[in-house]
Amino acid sequence: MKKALKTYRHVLIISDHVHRERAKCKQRELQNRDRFVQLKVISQLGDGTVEALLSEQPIGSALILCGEGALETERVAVSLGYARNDIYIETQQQMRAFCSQCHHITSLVTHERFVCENCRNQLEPSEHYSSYHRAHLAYPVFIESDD
Amino acid sequence: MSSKVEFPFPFTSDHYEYTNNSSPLIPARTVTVSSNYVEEVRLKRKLLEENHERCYRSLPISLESQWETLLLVFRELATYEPEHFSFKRRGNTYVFTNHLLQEEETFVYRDHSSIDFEPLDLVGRHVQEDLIVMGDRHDGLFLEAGQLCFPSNWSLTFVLGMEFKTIHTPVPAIAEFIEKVERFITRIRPNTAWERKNWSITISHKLDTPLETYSDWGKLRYHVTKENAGELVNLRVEVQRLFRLPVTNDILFSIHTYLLPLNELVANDDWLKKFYTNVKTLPQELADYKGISLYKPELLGFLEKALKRRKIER
Ligand code: HEM
Ligand SMILES: [Zn+2]
Repeated sequence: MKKALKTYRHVLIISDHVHRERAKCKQRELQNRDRFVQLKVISQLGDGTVEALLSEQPIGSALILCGEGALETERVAVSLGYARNDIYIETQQQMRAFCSQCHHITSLVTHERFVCENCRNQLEPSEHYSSYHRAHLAYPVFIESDD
Repeated sequence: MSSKVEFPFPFTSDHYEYTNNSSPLIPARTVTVSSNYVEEVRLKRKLLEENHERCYRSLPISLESQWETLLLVFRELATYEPEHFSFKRRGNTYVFTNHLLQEEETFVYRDHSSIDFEPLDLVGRHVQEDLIVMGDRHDGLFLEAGQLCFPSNWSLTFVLGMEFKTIHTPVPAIAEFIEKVERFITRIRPNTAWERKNWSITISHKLDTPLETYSDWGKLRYHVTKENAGELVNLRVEVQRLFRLPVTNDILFSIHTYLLPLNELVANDDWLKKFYTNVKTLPQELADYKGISLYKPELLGFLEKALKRRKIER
């Protein structure tokens, strides 16, 4: 399972120009938590220009990829020794999910069922969106055999 | 008064549809004191005590309307239920007396240091209703404060700060209807009140069914049988009122929730028949939304047996 990004001391973000603002935002967010975050903006992910940069990173650092071609870069990183769980691909549709049971907000890459980081309930994100919390409501998933 | 006599039976026709079933209320009241007053107010306070964050939320922008609501509701109680409440002013100081609970609240209007809770949180501890303040801003109606102990599967924290239309997103096929409702609300005149009823079903006699504890009470929905439905299943009716606050121009939305076990409901032939036809003709997506689909066959089976016993034609 993927860890929360804030648990990494060292993070490398690689972004294309289109996703630069989003990548910067992510960088600031993590820097505010005192993480070391390097941001590299290139014209196109997956063009093979980042190998050197990738191999310089300390072991156990996280890699965030923002932009088209992220999967190609992920493959390169894995071939250089990165664990898939340390690689985070930011797609346009990333979602903040508001736990209806404990009110904790979890960032989701996919919109599928997930487990709340805080209360461990199984949740299902919904279309119900709050522009106040900037998050989608996530409902508990009912397991019928529960008693 | 017995709880059955005062139960606000919601069905007027024999099928269910979205209608703006609001009607003007004269006199313009926001709260009702029912025979369960003491018991329900105690339960509200217990829930507030134990889960304040879940049951009370406000934005600072709501404070003026909260004070207005406090005065309004205390005045209303003293005016219409003088045997139970009184409200007096001595100089700058107001004194509200609740004779049912033998309590007194003393405060200076708009002086926050004179009360222990926020104004809405204080006045809400003297009524059975949940109270919501909807700020009427130029770009919509926003939920800016609420004391909510008895919600029907929704979260006050989540909807805090949200606009009226988006609050209703989870309700199936409601978008067009709810826009009309919003236009209706924005036209409500100061000092006037409108009332409507909303219904759903609760399994067990439980008023506090917030989304936050769904995993506890929601599982009871799997336990309904034709045999136990009379006891376990309750028709839940919310009497909702909309009142335009004359000073701030915001809307006070009050919700008084009533529960009636089916065993009591089926003793009234007219209620039994109307309830049966409404449940039977309820569109699938609404039955899903209201959580009825899980036990609808058992529920209908119970009602059909009751109809047969009482020799009522379906
Ligand atoms: C102005 C204050 C109001 C507030 C704060 C409010 C809030 C809500 C909330 C939180 C829900 C539950 C949504 C969910 O499942 O998450 C709901 C349901 C609903 N509301 Fe409102 N509402 C208001 C007024 C109205 C009015 C005036 C009408 C109609 C004239 C209305 C019609 C409905 C309907 C039809 C449902 C679905 C209920 C059911 O089928 O059980 N609401 N409302
Ligand atoms: Zn949670």
